[in-house]
Amino acid sequence: MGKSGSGKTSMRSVIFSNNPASLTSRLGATNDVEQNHVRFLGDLILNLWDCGGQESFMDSYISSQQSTIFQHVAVLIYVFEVDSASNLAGSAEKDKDRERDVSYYRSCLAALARYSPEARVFVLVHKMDLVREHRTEVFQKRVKELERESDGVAITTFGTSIWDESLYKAWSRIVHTLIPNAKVLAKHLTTFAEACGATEVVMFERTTFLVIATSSTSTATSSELLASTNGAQAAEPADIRNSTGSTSPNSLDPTRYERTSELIKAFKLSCSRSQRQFQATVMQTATFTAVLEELTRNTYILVVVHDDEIETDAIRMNIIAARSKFEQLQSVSVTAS
Amino acid sequence: MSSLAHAATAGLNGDAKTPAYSKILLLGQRRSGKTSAKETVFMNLPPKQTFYLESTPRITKTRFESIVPFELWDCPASTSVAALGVPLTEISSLVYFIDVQDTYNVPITKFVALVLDCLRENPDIHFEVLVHKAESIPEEYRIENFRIIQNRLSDELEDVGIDLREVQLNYHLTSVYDHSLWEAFSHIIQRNFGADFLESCLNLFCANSQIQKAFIFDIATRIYLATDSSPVDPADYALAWDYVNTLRQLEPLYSPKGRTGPADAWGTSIVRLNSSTTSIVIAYWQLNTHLAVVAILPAETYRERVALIDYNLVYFREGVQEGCELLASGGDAMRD
Ligand SMILES: Nc1nc2c(ncn2[C@@H]2O[C@H](COP(=O)(O)OP(=O)(O)OP(=O)(O)O)[C@@H](O)[C@H]2O)c(=O)[nH]1
Ligand SMILES: Nc1nc2c(ncn2[C@@H]2O[C@H](COP(=O)(O)OP(=O)(O)O)[C@@H](O)[C@H]2O)c(=O)[nH]1
Ligand SMILES: [Mg+2]
Repeated sequence: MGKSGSGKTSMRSVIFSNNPASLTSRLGATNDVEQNHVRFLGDLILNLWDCGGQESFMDSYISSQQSTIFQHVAVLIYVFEVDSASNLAGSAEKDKDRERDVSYYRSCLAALARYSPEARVFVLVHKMDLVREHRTEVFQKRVKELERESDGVAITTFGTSIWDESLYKAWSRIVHTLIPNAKVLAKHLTTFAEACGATEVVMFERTTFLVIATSSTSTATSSELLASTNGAQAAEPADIRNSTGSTSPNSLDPTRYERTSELIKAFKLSCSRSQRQFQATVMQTATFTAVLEELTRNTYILVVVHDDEIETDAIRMNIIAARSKFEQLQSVSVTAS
Repeated sequence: MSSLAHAATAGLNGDAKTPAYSKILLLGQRRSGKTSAKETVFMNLPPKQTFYLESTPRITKTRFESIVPFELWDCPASTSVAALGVPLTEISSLVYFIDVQDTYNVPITKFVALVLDCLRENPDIHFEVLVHKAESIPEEYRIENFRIIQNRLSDELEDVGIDLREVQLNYHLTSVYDHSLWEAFSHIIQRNFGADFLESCLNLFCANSQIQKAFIFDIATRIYLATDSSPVDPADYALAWDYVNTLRQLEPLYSPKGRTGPADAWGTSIVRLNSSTTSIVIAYWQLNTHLAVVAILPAETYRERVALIDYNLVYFREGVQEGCELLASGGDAMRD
């Protein structure tokens, strides 16, 4: 949910329909509620409700349609457009707009508390690319305000833009909360990473390329993936190696998961433009080897190794050997829901 | 050295034997995209950030050490030939930007005047017209607008008495948001030096390894310097470029901070792609610090011949490295 033009349909089309960000400017306003069923991890079906944000619709969501809209909600994603510098000046008009925006938000939270008190709330401060200077400050200021307006409801906030990886970060975290067995997957990925001598292992959903789980030798493990509070980048410790002398994931770029999602997704798009389908890739550089392969019918696995003694063929053998186990885990994780 | 992207170190090696820098001028109306092109292709600026570039008030020269060293001159719209301050014989290419969304009259008139001025002094100059910002208009109009501009330009050049058979004039449809701009600059740079030895090396390597198509890329700029002599399928080039572009952005994500590997551990990457009929692989093999070869071949060939290909690669890499060293030390030795 969120004000008209805040970017809801755009982000949905970038993440779930493989549209390039540049084409979103051609989208029209959404009329009423557009429902989409996205088959996510095989049998896990996400039922996305893209609620058109024009005021007449919003009014009816919080009045006559309230019980329909807010019942059985697992996750509410509320999208606010960031106030970019030019917006900040704040004419009376703008201030009023913003008040209205916040008041709809509060009404939605209230309705949610009534019909789906268990639902998690994600608040996205969107179009962050429009903020040129002091991004973190602008974002944090907004988060403070929104937290104040949330009446004690726990919210998870992200600054996002369809033009960079931040959108993948937010959506990976959102989707992660919907995967019932995410912790078990992470545990098995960790075991797998150890078996491969890998620095880390990352599991991606096949079509969206969102991150589902990572091995917990890496820093952004399930604990961080599940963390509430804001999505601003925490400074990570810069120790290069851990005690065993192998590479610590801490020394790698903290944005690597969402950047990888974004980059591979863009590459898949280029492939399909030439009527080809991305299958697998292996990358060897002076410092690491990375293998990205299909793991199960619905997932890809990325194995990153910082040890030039380990052959890529050995990694690929391990992936093949692990397939049936993960196929099984996944079906368990989904039916458990 | 054989890289294009050494702006920072350029111009340091003494005046005694300054190499002759071929000069490439970037010209066109205000905000037609000259600085954006220079920054994204040669200086690594992400395309989206060109949005924040400010206009260039005076001629800005940037040097690059390439197989043939060259200088890019980013010129404000008002620049006249007289204001360049060098004889036109020193200019090897004039790259003229026309914003595809703009009205075409003024840029076309100005371009015709420039061509007339240039030809008076240097008939060998390469004119490269970039019909730019192509992605900003719907696909169905792009080619048509491109054709309209080409026709208008040719007509007007002929009207002022220029014989088109005698000028070196090329058109490119480009955008900073995809490979098209890099493809255009690949051709522009290639026209400024003989890549013959690279092409011969590639021909041999492809023939011996059953490779369908191969390109040698400058890693830092993603410009390709040579390809084997088989015809270029635009889809192949686009894929090769996209792959190089993806790899160079992925690499820093998983490289540990503050750690470097052995200097001669050349990068290798392989991607496998399917289509309804065939599987192909695109292979990326680094050749030296600056160059990489990107090869496209059937997945089956790759699987069956990987040992042979690796073996051929060793000699191919040596050949390219030696050729580049020779060029750097003497230059002309490689011309024949
Ligand atoms: N600069 C920038 N523009 C964006 C971003 N996301 C979306 N937009 C633009 O915002 C405009 C509106 O986007 P929509 O997705 O249609 O908005 P919506 O929230 O679905 O609007 P309603 O359906 O009316 O509620 C489009 O022109 C998008 O291109 C972003 O991250 N940055
Ligand atoms: N849509 C689109 N915009 C572009 C492209 N190239 C440049 N621009 C935009 O054009 C504007 C002017 O670019 P600039 O390089 O400063 O033009 P210059 O005055 O010719 O140097 C900037 O806002 C760029 O973002 C392109 O390929 N597509
Ligand atoms: Mg919409």
